[in-house]
Amino acid sequence: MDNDKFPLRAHKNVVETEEFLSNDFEARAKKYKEYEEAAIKLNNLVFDTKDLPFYIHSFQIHGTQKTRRSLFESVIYPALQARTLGSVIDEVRITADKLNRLDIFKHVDVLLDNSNDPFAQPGAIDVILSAEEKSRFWIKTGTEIGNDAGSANISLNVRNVFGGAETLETYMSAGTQTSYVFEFCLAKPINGNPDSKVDISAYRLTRNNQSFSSHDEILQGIALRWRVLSKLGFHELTYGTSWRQICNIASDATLRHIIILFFKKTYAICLILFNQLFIFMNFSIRESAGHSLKSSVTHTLVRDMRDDIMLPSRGYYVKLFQEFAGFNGDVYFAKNEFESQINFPLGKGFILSASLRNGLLFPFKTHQSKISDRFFLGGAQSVRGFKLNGIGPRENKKDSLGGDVYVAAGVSLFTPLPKLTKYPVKGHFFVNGGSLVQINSSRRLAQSIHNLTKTPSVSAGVGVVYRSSILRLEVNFCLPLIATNTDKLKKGLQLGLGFNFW
Amino acid sequence: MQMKNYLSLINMPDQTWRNAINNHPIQQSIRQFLNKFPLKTHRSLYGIRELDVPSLYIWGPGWKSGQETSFDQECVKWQTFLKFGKFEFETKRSNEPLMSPSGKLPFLMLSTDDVLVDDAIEKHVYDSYSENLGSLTNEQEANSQAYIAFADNKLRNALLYYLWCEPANELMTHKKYVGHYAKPLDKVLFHKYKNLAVKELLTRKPVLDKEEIYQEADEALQAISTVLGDTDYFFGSRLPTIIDAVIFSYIHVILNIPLRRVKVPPNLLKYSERIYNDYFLPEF
Repeated sequence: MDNDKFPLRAHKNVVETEEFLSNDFEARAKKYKEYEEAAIKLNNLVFDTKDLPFYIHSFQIHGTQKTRRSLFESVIYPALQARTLGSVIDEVRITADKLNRLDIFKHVDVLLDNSNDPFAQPGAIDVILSAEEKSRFWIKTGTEIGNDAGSANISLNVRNVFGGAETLETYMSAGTQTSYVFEFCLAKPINGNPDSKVDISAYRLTRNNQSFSSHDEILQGIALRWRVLSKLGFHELTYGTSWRQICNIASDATLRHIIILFFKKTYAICLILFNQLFIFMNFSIRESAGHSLKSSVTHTLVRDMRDDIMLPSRGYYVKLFQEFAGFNGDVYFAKNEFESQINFPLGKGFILSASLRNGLLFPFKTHQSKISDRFFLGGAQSVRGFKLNGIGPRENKKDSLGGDVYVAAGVSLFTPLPKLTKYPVKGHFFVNGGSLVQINSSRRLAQSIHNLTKTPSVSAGVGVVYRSSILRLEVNFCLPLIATNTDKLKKGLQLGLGFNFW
Repeated sequence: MQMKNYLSLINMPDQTWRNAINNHPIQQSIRQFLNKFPLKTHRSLYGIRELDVPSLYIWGPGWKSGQETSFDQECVKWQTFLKFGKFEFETKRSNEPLMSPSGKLPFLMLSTDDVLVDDAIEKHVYDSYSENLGSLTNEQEANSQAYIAFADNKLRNALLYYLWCEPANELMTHKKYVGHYAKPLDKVLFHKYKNLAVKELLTRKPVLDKEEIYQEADEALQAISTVLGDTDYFFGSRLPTIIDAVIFSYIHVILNIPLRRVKVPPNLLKYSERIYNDYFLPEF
């Protein structure tokens, strides 16, 4: 809409202005009507002619410098197979969309034209794509908060490294919990498909687990990954090798032998006197120290149908994770994890959310799993009412040792708050709980799984949830209902900051 | 009355003010309420048992099969010293220096859960088991320190050089120190340990001359042999002291590797054999 004729000093010239505006409105309406008619005409034209035989005679691409020909060839190929006008238009649109999503062009414009080639067959179309490449280097900085930890990060990126839409990312992060991360990653789309990427990465990270388990963990590794979008959801297939070091055991971290006592309540005293079923295990932080080399294949499937990641009101989320370790290296296990969440809108701003998670780590060849691979449970984002990793096997009531089998579930009811319905703030009632145990190599697996039901930890509470643009904040008043004597409780107010809540 | 109460609150010093708040009836009832939770407490499946015997975590097993002594000189030294003190302990062949707070083996884990390394072990044994250990005069004490430093310099140089710098011994050293790690990791750690050894050597010798290092070790052994003479323990002591643990550990490891480039004088040979038989062979 050109506004060249808009009268100057409009505030002094009310009559003229009003006249102009009414004329302008009419003119605009007229123009829109014309547009609309033209669009309908074009649409009809295309619809009528969509089955006419047409084909793409030539494909011209303008404005690219670094991008290789082979990338375009693989993206354009399906369009060249189109034999009718309708499919030509569809395929060209899909092609342009793919090129856009490769994230190497600022914009991609498409022009279809009758072929100028005098030797062309009837129905020949020339496609002219004009694109402008994005700048190759970019830097991103950011901060993250979650799982009781904050971090600042910087990533240096190179786009379209070899002209095939490859990206090279160097990522560094320093924080309170994960003390230090360095990652170097080269990714490449397969056949120019933005939904299917292969990447190879090398990383080094230092994790500070002193607060709940008195040790530091240094991880160094390389991984080859294939990420693809299928009808089921987002898949990730990884083969990786990592060298893990458990070190810097805090000097007050103790080393004790832990015994599993199998009690039958009624016979407890008799058992103690006559038939103690002690299982000795060297589970201790100090004895977990050392080097290990894990080489594993993992598969992750995520199907996320929620309307929001942080505070969803409808939809479900399912994640399946499988890992098999033991190709080379000295770590042998099969690991399975399942996570799910479902949300129902109950109307009037009430939302019911339920989640269920479980995991199983089954070590073989070795008689116990390594602490780096075990599951941990508890915390504001996991099971509320307990401290971070506060549930499960514990050494000397201080250090969390992690477990091999866990199950956790939670139900939350989100309610609208009076006078605050406009803001992303909700009231929150919840009940959640979980159980985490170790697998005993000398006993049957069923026995270990049965142990899960013996010592559940459950809590309930009420609070307020706020979803800001970057994270979710929860303040809950928690009451642990059932707990184990070694659990670390968080009675009263508990603060949760992060993205992922269960 | 109310007003007066508040005024007195304001005028209170900080600490008492906080106490007043904490002891407020509402606060107390909240605390009482919270104390009722959890409503039910299970007993953990994982019981805790105290360690009954202190443990010494060492590199092991020894150079020869069936040996209780470690293959590492530092470990042998503390093993021997604890044996001298008739300290009751069990050895654990952890072969993992990351377990130790100092990053080096050995370390001693007491039944009270305290972890001791190096001099703390010596102090602990002297504090509670001194009746089994010899005592030296001040002059002898000074001499003892000097000879320990001498051995830790000359004999340690020869040992480190032999184990880590002789290409012919790489396989043997590798097997003992890093053989238990997974495939490429052993190579990485071998180089790490080797670099540490070389760095340590370079702090004491600017140039690593093989012949010179072994020559000096030979001379050192001669000197130590003269000091020992025909006595049972150093400085004619009736009972062993720390210097006996140090010298025994070097000679024991040199004889067992075996490091043939260094000649052990006959009286030291006999000395080491006797200590081994007295303290490490099981009594019948």
